Amino acid sequence: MANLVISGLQKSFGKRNALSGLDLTVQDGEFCVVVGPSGSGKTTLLRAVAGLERVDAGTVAFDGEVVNDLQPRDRNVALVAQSPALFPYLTVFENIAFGLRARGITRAETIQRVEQAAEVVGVYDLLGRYPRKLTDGECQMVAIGHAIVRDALLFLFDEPLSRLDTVRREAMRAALKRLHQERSMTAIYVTQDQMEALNLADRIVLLRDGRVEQEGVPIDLFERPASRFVAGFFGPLKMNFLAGTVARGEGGDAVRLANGGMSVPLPPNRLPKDAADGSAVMLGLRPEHMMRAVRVSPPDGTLRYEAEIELIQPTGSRVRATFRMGGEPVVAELQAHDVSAPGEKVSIDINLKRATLFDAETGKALSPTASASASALVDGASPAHVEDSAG
Amino acid sequence: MVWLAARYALALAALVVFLFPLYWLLVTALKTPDEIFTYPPVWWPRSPQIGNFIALFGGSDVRAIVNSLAVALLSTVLAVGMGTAAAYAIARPGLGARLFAGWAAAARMAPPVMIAFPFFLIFAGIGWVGTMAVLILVLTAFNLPYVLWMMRGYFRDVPVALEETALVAGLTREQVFAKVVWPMARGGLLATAAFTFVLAWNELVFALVLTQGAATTLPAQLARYGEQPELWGRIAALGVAGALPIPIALGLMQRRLARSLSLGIVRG
Repeated sequence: MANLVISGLQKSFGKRNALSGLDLTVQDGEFCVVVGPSGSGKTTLLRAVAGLERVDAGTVAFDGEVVNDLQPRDRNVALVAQSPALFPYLTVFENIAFGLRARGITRAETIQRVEQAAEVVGVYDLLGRYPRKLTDGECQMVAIGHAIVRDALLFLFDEPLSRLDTVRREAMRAALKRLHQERSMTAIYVTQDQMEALNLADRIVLLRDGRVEQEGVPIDLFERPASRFVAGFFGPLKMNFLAGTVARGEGGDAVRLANGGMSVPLPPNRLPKDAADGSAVMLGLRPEHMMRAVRVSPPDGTLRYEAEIELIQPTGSRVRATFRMGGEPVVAELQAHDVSAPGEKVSIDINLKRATLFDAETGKALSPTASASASALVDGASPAHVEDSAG
Repeated sequence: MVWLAARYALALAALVVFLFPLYWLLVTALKTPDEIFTYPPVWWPRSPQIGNFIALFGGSDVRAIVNSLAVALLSTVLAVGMGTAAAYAIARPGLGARLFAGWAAAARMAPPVMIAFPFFLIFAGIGWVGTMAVLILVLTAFNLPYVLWMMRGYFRDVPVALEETALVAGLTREQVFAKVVWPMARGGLLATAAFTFVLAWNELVFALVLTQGAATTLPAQLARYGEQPELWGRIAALGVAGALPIPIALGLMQRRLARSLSLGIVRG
C-alpha cells in the first residue's frame, strides 16, 4: 500500500502528446477510477506508473520516493494490461503463479495463494489448462488473477473487464469491489464503462488530452461538472445542451434560448456576478432532472414546460422521451407510465436549480454568485484544473 | 472416388519425379563400371558392389566429408549465435533496426561468386587461403543475414505485452529473455539452425575458390572429380554420403521442431 503522487507528467509519441502535464494523487487504500475518451492518455498513464514507459518530464513518486528511474520489477506494482497476454507454454496455474515465483515466494504459499486468487476470479476449474484452450474472457480473468495474487503496492487495471460478457462482468466487478474492501488495495482503474466507474470508484478522475479535466467523488462529476466537456462525457445519459444568451432583468435572470427565443428563468443568484447581459451561454439540463408534472403549480426553481413528445425509448422501469424546446431536441427521463405514445402532450417540470450553465466560448461551468448555501455546494466542484479546459 | 484416385496418382508421380535422381545416385554407386554404361540401363545391379563406398574411406574423400561436417557445424554455431543475439536487438520496432536489417540482407543478395574473388584476394593477401578457417569465417558472415532475418521474425512473434507482463511481475531483462523469449523462439531457432547447416553443408562456390588440398569440402571434392567417366561410381557414392546427413538430422529434429513451433501460438 502506498501513496502515489504524480506531478507534471509529460509524454509524447512523435508529434502526439499522450500526457501533457498530468497531476494526480492517489491516497493509500484509495480506488481511483480513470475515465476519458480514447486517446486521452489513460493507458499511457498506467504504463508510466508501471515503469513500462519512460516519461519526457514530470515525476512519479511512491510514498515520497521518486521512482522514475526504477525498473518495473523494483516498483512492485501489478498491472492488468488492456489486451492481456498469457504465457502460452505455461498452464493457467503457472500463469497466475508467475509473479510469485519471480519474487521467491515458497511453493506452499504459492499454491495456496494461486488457488485463492483463481477462486476469486472464477477460473479455479481451469488451473490445469493451457491458454490456447481458453476463451478471450477466460484469458482476461486469468490475467486479473495473475495481478491480484500478488502483494503489490499498487494495482493498475487497464479496462480489465472489457472482454467479458455481461454476467461475468457483473460478477468480476463485485469481486473486485470486495477485494478492495477486504485488502484496502490502492488502485488505478481505467474504464470506458461509466457504470463500472460509479460502482467501484472512491474517486473518479476524468482525463482529456493528457490532463486531468476534473476529479472528485462520483456525484461531483455528475452534479457539478466543471466544464461542458465533463457534462457531455460523464453521466448515464447525455446532458441536453441549449444555446442561449444571458438576459438580466428586474424580475430575475433568465436564459434566452438562441433557437426560438424562449426565455428560461433562472433561480436567484444562479448567474455569476460578472456574467453580462447578452453574453452567450450554454444551458445544460440533465434528463434525470426532469419529471412529469404532478402538482398543480410547479415547485420553486422549476420550469413547467408543455412538451409534445416526439420519440419514446423505453429502458425498463423508465422511458426516455424526446421533445422540442425552442426547436432543439431535448431528452427527459420519465417513469415508464408517464407517457404512452408519440404525439402526446405532457407537462414536464424541469428542475432549474440543478441545471448547469457553461460559458459558450470557453466551455467552463459558470458558478452561481457566492451566497451562503450555494458557495458551499459549488466550491468543492471547482478544482484548480478547470482552467485547463480552455485549451 | 475417381478424384481420390487421381490425387493419389498425381502424388505418386510427383514422388517418382523427386526420388528418381536419388535412386539413380544410389544405384550408380552400387553398379560395376560396365553396368553404368550399358544400354538399356540396368535398374538394379545383378550383384550390388559396395566397393565404391569402401573406397571413400581410402583417399581424400573421407577427409572431405569430415571437413564439410566441421565447416558446416562451426559456421552454423557461429552464425546462429551471433545472428540470434543481433536479431533480438533489432526485433522491436524502430527506424534504426529496420534500416540495419535491410542493410544486412543486401549482403546476402549478391550472387556468392561475385564476392568470392574479392574474398580470395583479401585472404590471399594475408596468407589464409586454403585453410578451413577461411571458409568457416566466410560462411559465417554469409549466413549471418539469413539467421538475422529468420530470427527477427521469430522474436517478433513474441508479443511485447508478454515481455512487459514478465517485467512488471518482477523479472530482470535477462530473466525475461531466458524465461519468456527463449521458450517461445526455441523452435524457430532449431529450424533456423537446421537450414543454416544445410546451406553451409551444400555450399560450393566459396569452397571451390577459397579451399584446396587438405581443406577441401565435400561439394568441392565432388566438383573437382569433374566429368571423369571412370570415376562415376565413386562420385555417386560420395554423392550418397553427401545427401545422407541432412535427412537424418531433420528426421531426428522433426518431432521437437513440430512441438516447439506449435507452442508459438499466442492468445491474447
